[in-house]
Amino acid sequence: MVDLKIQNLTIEYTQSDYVVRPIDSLDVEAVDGELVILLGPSGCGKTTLLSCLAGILTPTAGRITVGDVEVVGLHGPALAHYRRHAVGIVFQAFNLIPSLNARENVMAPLRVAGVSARPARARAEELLTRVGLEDRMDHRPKALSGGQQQRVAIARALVHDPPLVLADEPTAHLDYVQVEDILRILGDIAAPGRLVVIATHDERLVPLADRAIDLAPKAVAGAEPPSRLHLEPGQVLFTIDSVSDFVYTVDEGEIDLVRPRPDRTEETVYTAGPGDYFGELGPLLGLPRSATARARTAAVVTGHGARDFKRLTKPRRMRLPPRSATGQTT
Amino acid sequence: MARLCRGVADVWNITLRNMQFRARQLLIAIVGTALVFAMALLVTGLKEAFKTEGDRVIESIGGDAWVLPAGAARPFTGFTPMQVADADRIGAVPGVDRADPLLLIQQNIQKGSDIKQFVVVGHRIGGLGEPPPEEGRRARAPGEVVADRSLGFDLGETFTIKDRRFTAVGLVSNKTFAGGTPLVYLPIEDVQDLAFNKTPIAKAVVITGTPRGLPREFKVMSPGQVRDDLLLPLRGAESSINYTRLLLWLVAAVIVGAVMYMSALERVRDFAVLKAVGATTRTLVVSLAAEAVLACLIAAALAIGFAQLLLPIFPLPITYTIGTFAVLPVIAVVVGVLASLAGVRRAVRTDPAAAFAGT
Repeated sequence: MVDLKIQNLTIEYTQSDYVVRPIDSLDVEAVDGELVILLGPSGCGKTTLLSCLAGILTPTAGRITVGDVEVVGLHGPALAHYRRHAVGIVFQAFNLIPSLNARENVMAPLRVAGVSARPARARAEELLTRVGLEDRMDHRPKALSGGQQQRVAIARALVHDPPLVLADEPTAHLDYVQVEDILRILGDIAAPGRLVVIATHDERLVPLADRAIDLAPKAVAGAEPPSRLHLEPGQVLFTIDSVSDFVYTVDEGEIDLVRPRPDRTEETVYTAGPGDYFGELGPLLGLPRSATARARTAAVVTGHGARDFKRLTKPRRMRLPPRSATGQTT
Repeated sequence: MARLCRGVADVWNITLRNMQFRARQLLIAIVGTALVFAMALLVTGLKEAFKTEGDRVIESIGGDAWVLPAGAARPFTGFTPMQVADADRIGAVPGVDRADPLLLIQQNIQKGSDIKQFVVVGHRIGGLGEPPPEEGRRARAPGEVVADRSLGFDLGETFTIKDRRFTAVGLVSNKTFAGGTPLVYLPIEDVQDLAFNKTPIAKAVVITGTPRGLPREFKVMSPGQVRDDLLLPLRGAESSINYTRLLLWLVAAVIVGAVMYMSALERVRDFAVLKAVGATTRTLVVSLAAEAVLACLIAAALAIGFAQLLLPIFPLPITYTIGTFAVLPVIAVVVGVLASLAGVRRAVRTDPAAAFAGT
C-alpha cells in the first residue's frame, strides 16, 4: 500500500535576482492505486512539486509522505535509495539518452544501481514488450516516434517497479493518437501497489483521473464592482505570490511595486503614480502576483475586476500607457 | 580498487555508447593526442639517445677503465694533460694488461657548404681507442682515419684539417654523441700535431685489466663515470627535453579535455536524467574518466605507430627503449584523468532537477 500525503508544503526558490513561491501551503492526499492529475498553467508549480515528490528538490517547508517514507529530510544513501527504487519518472520531452538504444535506455537505471547486465537486459526487454516496443528495442531515440519515445520513457520509469510514478506533461509533444496510447498505459499502471501522479496543463485529461488537483491560482470571477481604497504610507496592497484579484489604478499618491531579492532585501521594480495602472495580467491570465504593491505615500487606488478593467480600458486605451505601468505580470 | 572496477563495469555500456555516438569528434581528439604523444615519444627517444650515444662512444674506445692524473676533474669536460710516457708507466702496474694514451679534441671541417663539427679521438696506432671499422680497415699510419658515416666520407676520401691531409680508411656507424656529433678516430700523433704543436701529451690512459698499486698521482675512473662526464654538457638539453615532454603531455590533456568538456556540455541533460533515476555523482565521474582514459589509451597506441613513422624524418638520433613505450600507458591514464576533470566538474554540478526542464 502506498499513499501520498502532502502537508502544508511551501516551495520557494531564487530566480536570478528575485524569489518565487510557486507552491504555498499545499495539502494533498492520494491513496494507493490512484491516478492523480496536477493541473495548472505553466509556472504554477506542477513540475516543482513533482521534483519534490521525486526527492530531487527540497521544499522550503512542509511534509511529503510516500507510503511510510518521509521524503523531506531524506539524504545520502537513503535519498539515493528512494530515488532509485521508490520513484519512477517520465520526463517532459522524453529525455532519453540519445547515444543509447531503447533497451539500453531502460537498462540504464538498473545498471547505475549496480544490477548486472543480464538481468537488467531481461527486465528492460520485459518492460519494452509490455509497452508494445518489442520490435524497436535496438532503435535509438532519434529513430523512434514521439509516442514510442514516451513509451520507452515509461518503461524506464517502471524499471525498478516503483510504488510512485511521476509523469511530467507526458502528452505535451504527442499527437492525439499517441496521446491515447500513452494515457492508456499510464492508466493501466495506476493499480494497487502503485500511485501515478501526472502533471499537465491539459484539462482533457481530468476525466481519466481518480483525483485532480488544480494548482492554478484561484482568480476572481472578474465581475466585482470597482472599490476605492485609501492607503497609509507603507501599507501593503497585495503581496507577491498572492492570488490576483483586482487590477488597480492609482488615483492619488504613489505605489511601489517591489520584489524580494535572494539576500532578503527588496528591489523596487516600478513606482506607479496617479493615472498609472498595475496588476492587470495576474487577474487576466490567472497568474499569481509577481510583485508586492506597497504605498510609498498616502495613496488612493481603485480596484477593478478583470472583466470590468477590460471594459474600462477599451475606450481609454489611447490614454493609458501602451504597456502596464510595471511591464510585469503583477 | 574493486569498487572502482565495479563502477566502471556498471557504466561501461553508457560510456562506450557515448564514445560511439560522438565518434567523429573523439576521433579528431584521439588523432591529435596521438600526434602529441608521438612527439613526446620522439623527445624521450632523443633523451634516451644521448645515453645510448655515450655508451657507444665509451664502448668504441674500449678498455676496462680510464686512468687520469689524480688532480684531473673529468676526462671529457676538463683538461689536465698527462704525458704519453705515463701510459707505459701505468702499463707496467701489476694487474694492467694494456694501457694506451688517449687525446680528445673538437674540430670542424668544411664539407660542401656545411661546416661539420666532430670530436677527434686520438689513439695509439693498433692500441685501445679505435673501434674496429665496419667497412675498410684500421689506421696503420699517421694521416689515416676511421670516421663515423654521418660525416659523409667515402672510403679513401681525403680531407684537410689545418693544412694537413687525412684519408678515411675505415668507416663506423652510430659513433656519435650529443645528438649526432660524429667521432673521428686519428692516430694520437696527428692530434698532438693538430692541437698541441706535437707535444706528446694525452688526456687519459685507457687500460684493460685491474690495476693493483697505481701510483698516487693517478686515479681510475670506470667507463660508467666517464660516460656520465661525457653527458655532463647535455644536462641542460635533458632538462629542456623534460620540460618539453611535460608540456606535450599537458597539450594532450588539453586536447582530450576540450573534447570531454564539449561532450559534457552537450550531455548536461543526460547527466541530470541519470542523476534523477538514481545515478550517483561517482558513477558519472567514473563514466567520464573512463571515457577520457580510454581515448588517451587509444591515442597512446596510435602514437607508438606515429613515432615509428616519424623516425626517419626526425633530424636527430632517436633511441626507443622498452621503458619509453612501457611508461606511455601510465602517462595516458594520468593525462586521461586530468582531461576528464573539466567535464567531471560540469557533471558534478548538474542538478538532477534539470531533467524536468522541457525541450
